[in-house]
Amino acid sequence: YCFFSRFYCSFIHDRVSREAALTGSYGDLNCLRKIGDELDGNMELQQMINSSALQPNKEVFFQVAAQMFSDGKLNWGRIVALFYFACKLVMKALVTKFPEMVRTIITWTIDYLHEHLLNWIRDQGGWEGIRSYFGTPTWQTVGVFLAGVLTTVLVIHKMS
Amino acid sequence: MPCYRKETYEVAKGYIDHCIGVQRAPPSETVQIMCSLAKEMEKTYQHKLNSLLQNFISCCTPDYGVKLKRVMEEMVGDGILNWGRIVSLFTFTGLLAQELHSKGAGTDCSNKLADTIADYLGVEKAEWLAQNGGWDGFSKYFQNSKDSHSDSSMKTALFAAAGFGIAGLAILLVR
Repeated sequence: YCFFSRFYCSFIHDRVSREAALTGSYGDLNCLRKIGDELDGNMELQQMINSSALQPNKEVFFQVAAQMFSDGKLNWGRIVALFYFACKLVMKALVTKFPEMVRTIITWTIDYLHEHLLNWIRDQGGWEGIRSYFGTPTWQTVGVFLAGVLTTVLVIHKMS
Repeated sequence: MPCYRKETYEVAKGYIDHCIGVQRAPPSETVQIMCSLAKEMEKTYQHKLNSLLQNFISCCTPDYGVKLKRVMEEMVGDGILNWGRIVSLFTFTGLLAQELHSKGAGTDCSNKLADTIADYLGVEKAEWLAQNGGWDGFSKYFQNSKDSHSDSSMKTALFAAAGFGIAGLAILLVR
C-alpha cells in the first residue's frame, strides 16, 4: 500500500507539474491575443476613417472618437490619432463643402451684379472703364495677384 | 463546407520560408502583406514576443507542432477570432521558425509548422475563413495598411501638426 500510494502521489505530482508548466508558459498567450486585437482594432478604425461615407458632422466624429478610446487606455499616440482624424474630417469638409460654398457665393455676386449694377456698368461704357480705376499696376501688385492665383490653382489641383 | 487547407498551407509556408531566408518563388500578394504586417508587429512588440518565444521553446515536449496547435487553441479560447490575431499568430510562428532554423532544424520542421497552421486555420476554422472572405478577404482587409503603412508615421505626424496648428488658430480666433 505504501509503495502504491507513493507511486500514485509522484504520478499525480508529475502530471500536475507538467500541466502547470504547460499552462504556465501559455499564460503569456494573452499578449498574443492583445497584440492581435490591437492590430484588428486599428484596421477597423482606419477603414472607418478612410471610408467615403464619412460625413463631417458631430455624431460621426463622436462615434469614431468613442471607438478610439473604447477600452479606456490612454496614450499620446491615440491622442495624436484623434487630431489626425480631425484633420481628415477638415480635409473632407473642405473638399465636399468648400467648392459648393464658393460656387454659391459666386452665384450671389453675379446675381446681384445682374440685378443692380449692370445698368451703371453699361453707362460707364462697359468693363473697359475698370482699367482707368486701377491705373498702371506696380510690379508688387502684379506679383501678389499672380501668387494668389497660383496658390488657388495649386490648392484646387491638390484637392481634386 | 469550403476547405482552405491548401491555400492556408501556401500562405504559411510562403511566410515561414521568407522568415528563414529561403526564397523558392516570388511571394504571393497575401504573403507579402503578411510579411510587412508581421515585421511591424515584431518591431513594436519585440520584447514581449521574444519572452513568449523563449517560454514556448523551453517548455516540456519538443514536439513543436503539438505545442503550436495548443497555442492556437488557447488564443481563440475566448471565442474570438479576427485577422489581427491571425497576424500575431503568423508573427509568432515566423519568429519560432527563425529560432529553430538558427539551431539547425531542417525544412521538415518548417513544413510541420506550416502543416499545423494549415490544419487548424484551413480546416477547423474554415467556416470562419469562409465568413470573412478567405485569404482574399485578408488582402482586402489590410489593403489600406499596405498603401499607407510605409509613410504612415510621417503622414500622421504631419497631420497631427496641422491639427494642432488648426486647433491653436481656432482658439486664438475665438478669443
